[in-house]
Amino acid sequence: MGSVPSRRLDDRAPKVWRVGGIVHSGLICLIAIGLTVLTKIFDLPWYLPAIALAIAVMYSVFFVILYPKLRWRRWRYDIHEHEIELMYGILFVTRTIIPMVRVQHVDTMQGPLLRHYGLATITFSTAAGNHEIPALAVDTADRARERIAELARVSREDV
Amino acid sequence: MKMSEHKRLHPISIFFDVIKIMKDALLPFALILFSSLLQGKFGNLIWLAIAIPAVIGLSIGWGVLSWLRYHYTIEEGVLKVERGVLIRKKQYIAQSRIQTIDVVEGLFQRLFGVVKLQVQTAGGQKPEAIMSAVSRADAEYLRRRLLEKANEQLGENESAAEEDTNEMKSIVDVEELFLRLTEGRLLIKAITSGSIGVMASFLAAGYTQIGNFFGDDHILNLFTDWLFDVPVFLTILGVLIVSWVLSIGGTVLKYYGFSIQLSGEKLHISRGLLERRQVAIPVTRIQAIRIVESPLRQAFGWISVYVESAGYGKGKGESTLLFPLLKKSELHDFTANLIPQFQIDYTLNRLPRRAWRKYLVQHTTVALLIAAPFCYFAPLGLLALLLVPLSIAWGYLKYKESGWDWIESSRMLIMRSRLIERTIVYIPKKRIQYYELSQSPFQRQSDLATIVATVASNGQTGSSFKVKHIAGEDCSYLLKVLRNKANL
Repeated sequence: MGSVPSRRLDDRAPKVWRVGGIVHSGLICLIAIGLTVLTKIFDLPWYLPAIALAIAVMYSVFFVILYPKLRWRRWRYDIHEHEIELMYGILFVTRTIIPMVRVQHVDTMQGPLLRHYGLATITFSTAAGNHEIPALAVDTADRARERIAELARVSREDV
Repeated sequence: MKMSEHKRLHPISIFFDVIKIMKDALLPFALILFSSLLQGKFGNLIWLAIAIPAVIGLSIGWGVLSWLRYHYTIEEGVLKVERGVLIRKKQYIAQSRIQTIDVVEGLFQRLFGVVKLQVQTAGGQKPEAIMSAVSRADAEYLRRRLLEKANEQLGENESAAEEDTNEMKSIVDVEELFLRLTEGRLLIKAITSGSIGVMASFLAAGYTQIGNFFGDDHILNLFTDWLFDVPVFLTILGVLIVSWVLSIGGTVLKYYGFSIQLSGEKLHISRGLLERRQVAIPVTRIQAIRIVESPLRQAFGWISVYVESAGYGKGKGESTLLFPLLKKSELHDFTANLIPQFQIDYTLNRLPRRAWRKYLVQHTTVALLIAAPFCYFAPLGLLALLLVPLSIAWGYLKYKESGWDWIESSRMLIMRSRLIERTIVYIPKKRIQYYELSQSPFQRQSDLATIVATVASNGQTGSSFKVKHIAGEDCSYLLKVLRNKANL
């Protein structure tokens, strides 16, 4: 499928995703523990909490340990003069190409977690939906946003 | 301009409002009535006797107020609508942003000789502006004014002269290109639309004959006895036939008198028996063309033509239908006359042989998974294994008929694929909002990829079209032409 895009997300991205992963695996684990308690109280068969705990453990291992690293390793992007190119996905690898002329507007945004690590996400929209480049360093994100906005404006005048 | 003064809706809209409010109030009232009758408490009924006239009075008041509040005008290329009783709203819709204007004549509207207008732009809440009752003359005038120079923003003084020439042009065009769906074709369309239901009932009827065919104590006969206990079978058959007849009726009501004409820069579509609906789609707003062949129609060489247009979406269903039923041989003339920017001839670049293995594996696995529980639990369930060859044949069709083409002269991407129906989609490159190549691990192994192109249609998310298992080298070629700046 030709050469892949060259730029990666920020090094700190896996760490942020891991923290996010810990938060929602924590919730899943709590549910599993709650189920175990219920089993004790209502005298339900032992395998129900066993299954729930197994799922919770697998979920946590995947989203805390594997997923952040794998996702970061795959994620690439490039901002060319005439298009933005994204590549992502762990098993199913997708390359998305958005012609610059189609970009309607571009934003950067930060949740509390990203802000804590000094990261930001770029989102940009076309007439057929939004795309994002997650977890870039704030200054990289700001520069990329300015660049996309400028290129989108110029390419529109071209046509 | 005549139109600079504010206009109101037809007063009959008050009546429509009242009816609407009463309809909403009907259910709670019915509940109260029902429960008080059940409990034998008639105190509530007195309360109802006060409430009903009150609601009627209030809804009439509300209707009159909203009618008084509703003004519209066209000024300097902007449709301005002011409305609202408690919350006052001013909607300004730039003429250049208007995608389509629908004219709907429901039963009520026809009764009073008025029409309903729906104005739509790309994105946002749909439809942007609804005018529940305007006279035919006003509707025609609005439509002409708003769509005439949809792509230009002219000041008031320039527009007058411009209008005259446009009017001349459109009168000539109207006579030239007009196509109507004949009653015969409407019937074919209707009969073939519930095709799966039809096939199922024929299939079921066939099964009952198996018994006669094999003789009384043949083992297959035991199977059919088990499967088609007579009353059960008759019920199923009955339900199928009734639903088929209903679907025929529905289709006839919906598409009766379907006609399409090109006038000026717009395609005017009108259809419907009880509820007449007129849609105008600016030709310049067409994002893609879709040709759909369901298996039954494909066998007889019939096709349906759809249009993807910004401002409309699949959610709105039939409004995207450009023509319900055409002979395959007529398609060329149809597009040449109505949408000449779409060249419909193509040479299909097929999938590579190694793609066949993907379909074979996938279709065999799925069929086996479905058949497995039958084999295990049902008497004579091994017959379910017949699913396997059927599924493989279906996979073979998918493999054989999928493909793509790139037409350099008109810069058009063509994608053909089959799910149940065979779909051919024509997308001009400049209409592609974004495109994707994706690979599963299995595809990566054999250097195949899925290509997806998305156009602006279907609201916020766009409509995506894809072809699976295209050869790696073909993908590289497509990436190259699609990325080529000269082709923007």
